[in-house]
Amino acid sequence: MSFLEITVFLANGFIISLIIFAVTLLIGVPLGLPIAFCSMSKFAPIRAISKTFVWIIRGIPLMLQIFIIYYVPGLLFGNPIFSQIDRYIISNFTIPNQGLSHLIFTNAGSLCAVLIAFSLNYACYFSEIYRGGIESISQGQYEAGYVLGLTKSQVFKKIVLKQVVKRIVPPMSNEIITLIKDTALANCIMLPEIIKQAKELAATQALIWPLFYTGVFYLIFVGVLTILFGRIEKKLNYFKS
Amino acid sequence: MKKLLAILMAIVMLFCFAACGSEPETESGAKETIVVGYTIYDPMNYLDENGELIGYDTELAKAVFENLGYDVIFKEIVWDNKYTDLNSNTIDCVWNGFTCNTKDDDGVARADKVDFSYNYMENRQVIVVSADSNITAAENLNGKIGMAESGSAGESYAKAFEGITFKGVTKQTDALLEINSKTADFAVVDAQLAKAYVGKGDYANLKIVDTLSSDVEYYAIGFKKGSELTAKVNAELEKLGKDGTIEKLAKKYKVENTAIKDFSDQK
Repeated sequence: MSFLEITVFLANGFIISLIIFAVTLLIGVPLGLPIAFCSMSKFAPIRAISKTFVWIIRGIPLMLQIFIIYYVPGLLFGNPIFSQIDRYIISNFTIPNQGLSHLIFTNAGSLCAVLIAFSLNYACYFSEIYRGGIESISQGQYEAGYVLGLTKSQVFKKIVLKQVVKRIVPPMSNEIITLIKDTALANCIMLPEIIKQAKELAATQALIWPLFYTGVFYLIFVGVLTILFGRIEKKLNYFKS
Repeated sequence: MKKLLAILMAIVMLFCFAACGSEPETESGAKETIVVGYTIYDPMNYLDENGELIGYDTELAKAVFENLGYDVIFKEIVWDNKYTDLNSNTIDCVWNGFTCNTKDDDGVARADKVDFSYNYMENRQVIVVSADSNITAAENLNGKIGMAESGSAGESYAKAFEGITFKGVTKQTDALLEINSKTADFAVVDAQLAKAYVGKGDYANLKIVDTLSSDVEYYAIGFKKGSELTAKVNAELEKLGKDGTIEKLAKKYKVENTAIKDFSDQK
């Protein structure tokens, strides 16, 4: 295989990593907000449930969560959902023999399991960042808002949220950069993300260097993210100057 | 981009569909799908230069299940998770050079954990070392670091040597990589695999220590305990052995010396 072919082969895997990345953000970022609100709820049972949930999800390694979500439906309930998805796709679609769509089609089941595990996991981490952001706004600002005749929701939208958003950008960018690297965990159930692809080259072509070459993909992507977050921080620089 | 999005949406929708759970698993009339678990293992299951899965086990599995009227898909597994995969019905069988007459690390015979088909191939465990190594006998292994795939027959074989330090890896080929990177002194892998890899590409500087090979062991197909497939597959294997399909495949993948074509004595 030529260098170019290997790059394409790895890039296909990296697109799977990017799909995990994008879907996790798409689900995790909004899902973190209700969890954060529940954790701050004045109603103790809701607060307890939410905090226990966050404790469990943050307390168990992500790899183990992937195993649990992937295997438990089959082991405990005799209904291997994720394998069922694979079977359903294979018998109802014509699958291309190779390339990215082949990877996605033949691994749709494990991909779903990974997406669920990642989304839940990151939603919990995000919720704690949101909670920290919201609780960092001093009580005085709420009171000032009420004195000016704003309603509770107006105070939240117009005063609190705008400050929360800019305060949570640095911790969020931290988590998001961790996320792209965490996608490598998906290869524990043989989802063909980039590391798995590189290992496959080692197994089938007896090539070892592609495994180290994958670092370049991550580095470039994290570089782009870093620039992006730098810009966002600058843009959110209101309330200063 | 649109295409990708469409695929993604399809997956999400499918998941919602599957999550309902109460749907019947297969509509009447539709072919049932068999999921075969494998790890990359030349010459049994491996990819050709176009990235398509081929190999002796791959083609034999296809022939057997297609003759029985099933659709077949191949799913790459982590070898350590094979029993979990089978027991959770994630896969229907392990058809991947699965040594049947051995014990796992916990001392329990594999035949007590899964149902095996007829033996369809002979195999040995061999020891692979770097070409400049001076390991030739069992006593040379004392104090050396040995690698094999976790949960493999090679692991049990390696651990039987005195004074070695054992380390597990997830794939047999990874064990070979470890010798290359000098993190291990020797690797225990299947003879079939060793013949296919040693001397090729980045493995050119490796050699097999012939004097340290294990006794003959057998490959069989592993099913979940109580699976109805075992008998069906056995019957089909017998047929394919008689009509020459197995012989043809064995020649194609250069395993004619070890492939079993006559199953009559195993009934």
